[in-house]
Amino acid sequence: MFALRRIGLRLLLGVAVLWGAATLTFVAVFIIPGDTALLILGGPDARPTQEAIAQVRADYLLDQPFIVQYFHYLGNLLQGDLGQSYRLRIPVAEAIGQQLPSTAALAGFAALLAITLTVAVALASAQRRPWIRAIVSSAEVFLASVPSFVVGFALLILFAFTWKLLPSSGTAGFPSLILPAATLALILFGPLSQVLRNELEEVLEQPFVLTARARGLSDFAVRIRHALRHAAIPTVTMSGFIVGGLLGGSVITETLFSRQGIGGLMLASVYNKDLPVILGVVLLSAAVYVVVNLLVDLLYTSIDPRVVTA
Amino acid sequence: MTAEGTIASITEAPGKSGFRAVTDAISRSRLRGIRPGVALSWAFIATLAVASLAPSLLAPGDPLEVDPTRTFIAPGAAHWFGTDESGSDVYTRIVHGAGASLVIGITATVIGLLIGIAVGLTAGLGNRLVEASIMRVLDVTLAVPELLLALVVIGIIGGGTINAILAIGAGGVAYYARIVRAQTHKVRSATYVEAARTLGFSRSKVVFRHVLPNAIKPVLILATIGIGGAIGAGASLSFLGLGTPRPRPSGVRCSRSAATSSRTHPG
Repeated sequence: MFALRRIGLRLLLGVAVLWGAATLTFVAVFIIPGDTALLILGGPDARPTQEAIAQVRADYLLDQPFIVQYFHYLGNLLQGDLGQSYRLRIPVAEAIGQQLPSTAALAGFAALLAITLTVAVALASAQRRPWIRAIVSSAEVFLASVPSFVVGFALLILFAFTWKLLPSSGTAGFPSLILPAATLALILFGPLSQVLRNELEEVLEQPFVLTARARGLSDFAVRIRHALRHAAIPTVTMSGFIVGGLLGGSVITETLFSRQGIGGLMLASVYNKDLPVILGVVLLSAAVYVVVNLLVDLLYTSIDPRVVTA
Repeated sequence: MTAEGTIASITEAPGKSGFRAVTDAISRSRLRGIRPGVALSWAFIATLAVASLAPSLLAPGDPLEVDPTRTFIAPGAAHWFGTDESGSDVYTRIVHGAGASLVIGITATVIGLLIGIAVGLTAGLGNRLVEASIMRVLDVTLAVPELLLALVVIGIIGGGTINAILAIGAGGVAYYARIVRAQTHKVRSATYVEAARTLGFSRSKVVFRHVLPNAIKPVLILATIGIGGAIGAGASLSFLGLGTPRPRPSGVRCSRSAATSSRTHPG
């Protein structure tokens, strides 16, 4: 009962965030100077006639006051209509829908890789000799602080150009997914592993770990069966933030590896000032953020049932 | 570590044999004296400072030099990092671009910090309605990843160095504002603030003399870390072709043309 009410509240807050994102971007677009009608017709280079401009103004309600345009936009949004792309001349939802599968595959595989790597490395390196931890921790800090395209470029040089093991670009098939997903995963891995190891080291000091060891459990079993669960909550919180940001990371990765996807769509829209598509991607990203954080919230209760009563 | 410190740590280790304790203490004091990580960091900062203040000391060549007969030379003695598609020396361009990257990182952080402090202070001192509305707007910007937020800002106001700085700065506002607001809440009920109010100081004097200086410490520390992130974000935007335009060298801008040219000119 409580859980249901909490989910309902969170969903409501999520809708408020989406509404806020739509409003903020709409207001920003409205107050920044620039002729939207001209943009729709292909920019000043297209040299549209005065009649064409007037026609577009009337069609897109650009001659109406702000409040009319805003409510018209919100009304459309409520019906799931994100508007028409200026550049592609297709509905924004369709443009996003075309690119979403390849980005989702990239982000999903990257998240899977990152989680596997984080858990494996943190489990293996927690409470080990100082020099082991120093090496692992330096690698993590390094990965967390270099821009993603540097990591991607290094992978590209090694695996695609030097050893010629994997394709350097494209969206076809699983092999072309490996390098971009590994790039994203390595970036995610840095901060996550730091948090998980710190937490694990604290947990491994706890009395119940000693009890488990006294019962004759092996070190490996203690780590997997007891410590990991207790150390998971902060890492899960953090992965919520980071996975929510994968869409931003995909812009770089997709460009570097010439992959299709939301990142490329966003970039092309920014170059061409295709505002409806920009707005659509912002809403998508906000929606992903809301959903991921809701999932994280639900995950807490399955990791630690005491969270519900708290 | 001083000699007294070494002796102290020997006497403090009663369980160990004398010899072990001495070697341990020595190795510990050695490590503390020249920690390799710290030394490396300082060396890097020094190199960066020289690169931004006097790039010609590290790279005497001309970063803008174009020579169509020397395009795509592999890294070697003459060109440490090779040459790019217009025959410019990549190493020279990177060194000469370091200053620009540093300027982008620092200005973007300062802009984000100033706006963040103003917004956070307003939220922390304002009435409930003001605070709630500011915090919800911040929530919304937090829901959009920083790089995406920067792209949106550039999508609306256009590209270029200055706009890129503004776009990156905008990404930091929400983080700084949230911390300043939390700190303000803590500080505003402190006894010294109450005392200042009781003494009859004007509101602005209390805010700027007492609340602000005590509320911004944690956010300043965060901002120094943020500079690195801002440099990375600037590099990312340049990589996407939305930052510093081509003739001027900008740190890692070269890597994008490198990625494309490695495909056309493998090996």
